[in-house]
Amino acid sequence: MKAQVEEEQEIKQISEEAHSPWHEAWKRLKKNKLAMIGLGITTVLLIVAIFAPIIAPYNPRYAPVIEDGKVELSLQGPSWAHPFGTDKLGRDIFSRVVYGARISLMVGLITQGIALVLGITLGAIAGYYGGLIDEAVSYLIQVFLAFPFILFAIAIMAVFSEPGVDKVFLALGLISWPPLARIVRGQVMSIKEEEYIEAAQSLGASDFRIIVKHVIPNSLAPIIVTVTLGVAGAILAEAGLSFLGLGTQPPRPSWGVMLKTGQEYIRSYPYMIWFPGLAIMIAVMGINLLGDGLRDALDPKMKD
Amino acid sequence: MLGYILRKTLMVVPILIGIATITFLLNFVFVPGDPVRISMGQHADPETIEMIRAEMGLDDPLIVQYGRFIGGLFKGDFGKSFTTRQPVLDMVLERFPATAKLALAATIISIVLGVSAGIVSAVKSNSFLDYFFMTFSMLGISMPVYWLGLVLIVVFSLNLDLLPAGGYGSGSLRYLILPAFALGFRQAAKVARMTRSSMLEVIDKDYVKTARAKGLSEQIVVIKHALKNALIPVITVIGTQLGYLLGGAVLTESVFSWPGLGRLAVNAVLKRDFPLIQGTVIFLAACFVLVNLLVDLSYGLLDPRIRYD
Repeated sequence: MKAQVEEEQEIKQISEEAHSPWHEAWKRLKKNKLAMIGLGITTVLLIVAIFAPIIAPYNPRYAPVIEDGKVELSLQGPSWAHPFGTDKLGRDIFSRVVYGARISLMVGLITQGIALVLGITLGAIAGYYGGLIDEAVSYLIQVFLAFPFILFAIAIMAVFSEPGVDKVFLALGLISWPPLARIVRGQVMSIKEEEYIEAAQSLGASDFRIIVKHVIPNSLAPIIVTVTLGVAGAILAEAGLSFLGLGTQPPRPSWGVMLKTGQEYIRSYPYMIWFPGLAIMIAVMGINLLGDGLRDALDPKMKD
Repeated sequence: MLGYILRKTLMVVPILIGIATITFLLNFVFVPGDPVRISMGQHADPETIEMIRAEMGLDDPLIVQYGRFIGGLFKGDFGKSFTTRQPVLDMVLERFPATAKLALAATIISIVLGVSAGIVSAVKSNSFLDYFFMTFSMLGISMPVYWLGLVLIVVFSLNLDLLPAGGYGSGSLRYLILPAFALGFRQAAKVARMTRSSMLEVIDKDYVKTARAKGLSEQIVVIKHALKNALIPVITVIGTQLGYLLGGAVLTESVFSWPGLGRLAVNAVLKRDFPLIQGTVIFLAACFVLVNLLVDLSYGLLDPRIRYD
């Protein structure tokens, strides 16, 4: 019996390699120019974030102090030595933008990681057990989605005695799960009655195993799309919170923090606002393009 | 029809209670320590703190506090601000017109820009103009509203000296233009994309072909036959995007020193004035929920194919 199952799996694997849906999706993705631009931008973003210490020519947090605590390079416009200029404390804005990619990506990934765990768990529980539990989770989803996103994040940040990037992870993660829970719930409900689930159950598979082995693989396409777009959303939200002074705190080089400082000097040194803002826009656009492309490639039926 | 409206409206009540419950939990249960002490700071006079605690009934069991809070909301009592000692609802209502004005202006801008760009893109699809508008809308969706605000200030206030860089200007239109544009641009981008795709969908439909075949001018075909039917998804976008718009308003108001609810909320968080945070958040979320209700209800008026069962 066991040998037979294994053999069948092998056959399935071989036939999948030839026409695997993932392979087909990749072929569709490759044909989509905008998606490839998005993939390119996202890759560059990853490289910049990982190799920030090699790419950035200066320390992003502290400028060299010349003497008597004086900073010589304070508030210099763009030049060859400092292509994006320097800020009030003499720090190289280019280096800060480079390191900012780290914070943004970390926020995006950690936030979506938390959202994934919460969303899959709650969605699966709701779909699997149904009844009152389902009603309760669905109600929670509706209420969470009724808050304007940034406003919800602001309200949560108010709970912490000191704002900081670690709290941003938590706040954004706690409010990003509802779309994922919806997807997983729907998927669980639609396959719950299928014969192969019944078979797995009668073979003694635990609920956890069924969710991991059957539910998640079946809803992987919409999950990937939602998480990708969620990363972009989290990057925007972190920058926004930090711009308001409620997120990442200086001296950490978050793009939002840099725009906040830039705003203070906007009258005399407007060059300070250009590059952090461009960085946010390009990063978010790249990830959004990739997400849109993935949606078209993974499931041609899915729509906005 | 009336039954449908009633049912939809009643469904909003539990959502509003849920919103209020979550904000209550955040501000008065999850906050580590005494919210009054946190708000007043380390050196606050213990007697004042005691007074406020007693006045707000913060020494009662939580469930009693919660019941009083929800009951108060139904009577329009949002509690009192820790810092100004004024009723929260008064403070919220005082700031609301500025935010409503900003949000409305931004929505109008987004509809005018978005729908016209979307129509042109759809009618001349794959032309230079189409690519131009769609590139712009891709940028618009990815651009932080407050950054666009800063860029507009640099260009139109500091360099060209055309418009004021911030403030309310006692309601003068000149002060509204830049913040409304900054806030409306993202929405315009969304509306443009949606208009384009839903126009492209209806433009191939038989009734549009018929309209053309019977010799109607292109303008009439586009506006009377195609656009009218393409607008329904566009209205949905405007409704669902209102959440972003209200969130964006918080950021835009900070950039332009606009005296609205968003700035009130941010200042409340910075001062950790919990009843005020609660009030502004509940109020803005309720606006979002109610506008979405109106959008839901308006489908039937726009699209007779939708039935209320």
